[in-house]
Amino acid sequence: MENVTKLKNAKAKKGAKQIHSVILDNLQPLRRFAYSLTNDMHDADDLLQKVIEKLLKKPVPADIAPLPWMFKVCKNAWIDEIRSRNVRLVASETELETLADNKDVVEQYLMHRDLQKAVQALPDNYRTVISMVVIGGMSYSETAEALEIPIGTVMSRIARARKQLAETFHNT
Amino acid sequence: MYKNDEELISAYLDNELDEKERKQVEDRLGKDEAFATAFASFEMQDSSLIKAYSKIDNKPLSPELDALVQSLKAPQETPTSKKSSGWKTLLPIAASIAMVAVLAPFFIYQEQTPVITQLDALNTIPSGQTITIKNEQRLFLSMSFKDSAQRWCREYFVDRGNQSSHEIACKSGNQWQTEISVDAEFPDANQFMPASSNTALIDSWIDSNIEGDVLSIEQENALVPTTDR
Repeated sequence: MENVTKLKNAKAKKGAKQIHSVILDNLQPLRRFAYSLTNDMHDADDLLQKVIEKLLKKPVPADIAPLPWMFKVCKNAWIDEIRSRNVRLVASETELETLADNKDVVEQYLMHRDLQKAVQALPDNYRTVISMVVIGGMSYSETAEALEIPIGTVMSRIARARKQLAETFHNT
Repeated sequence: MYKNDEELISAYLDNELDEKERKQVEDRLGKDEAFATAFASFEMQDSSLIKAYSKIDNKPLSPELDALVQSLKAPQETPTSKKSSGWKTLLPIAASIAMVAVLAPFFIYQEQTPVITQLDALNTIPSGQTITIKNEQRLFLSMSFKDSAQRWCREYFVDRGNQSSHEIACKSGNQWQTEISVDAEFPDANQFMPASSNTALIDSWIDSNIEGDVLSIEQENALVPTTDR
């Protein structure tokens, strides 16, 4: 019994160390992904904190690739958050106030803001693949694994998302 | 395989095409103006998207997230952390076990300074951190777990200047009670230390008393007294 406990503890320690490394190695894409979902930097950090805490509490299953799993946890955590808030978040205007009085910077900011609004206007299925592939840098196979859909569906969704985004953005 | 040009261009931009397919796309870009326009539009859009969302890279992590990230780094940089493989590698020091000593009196006789006490640290500081406590003592909080009586137990190292020890204390009511204390060198980051008989004593105590797994930071936070939050 004691040996079983030791083995269990040893596995838990090894697993904890591995998940720490995976989280630290993928912190930047995961944070960008969180930002793309929340469209607010404060919310993104709050979301990422929840995701890390979830990952520490319930580590990646042994037979699942860590990166898609982490993105999946992040996406689901955000869905839970949206449900609990019962609101659809819109782009924050507060960042504009912090910008310097620089025409180019402001123009770029406004363009990015419009683009972010266009992303937020996408249907959830399209927004998620754009966030995972373009912003998070995941491959089609990783995205398919995270969303539990065929690669062909990822391929068609990402193409439609890009097309719709272009149409929405250019009409903004 | 690709139902339309949008899928083909997307797959190219996402680096999902093989060499032959990439070459076909590149050849077509020079011949088909509509295809090239669509390609340029998607490419520029992707670039803007990445720029827009990478703005967050320049923003420092929130204090709470930063503390969490640092706690993830700490076990890797500190081989003596319970969560690291170097845990069983302390320098051999003669064992001296002090079982079931009450911590509270220890704090009563400390000099009055504004810095945090060991009691406060056990109540509020997440695992994976080294902090300075009263009287310039140092405390490294290694990990938390629940024992069979569902008490919150913490494993830590304390450096008292002329002596350092490796201890486990468990919380009963509002009081932290030292369950086991052995002499041990205070862990310094990146220092590799061989296992000792003292470490085995601590490990053995944990194995005999731990209920479930090591607590996560979230679970630790939930145990922090509400008055200390």
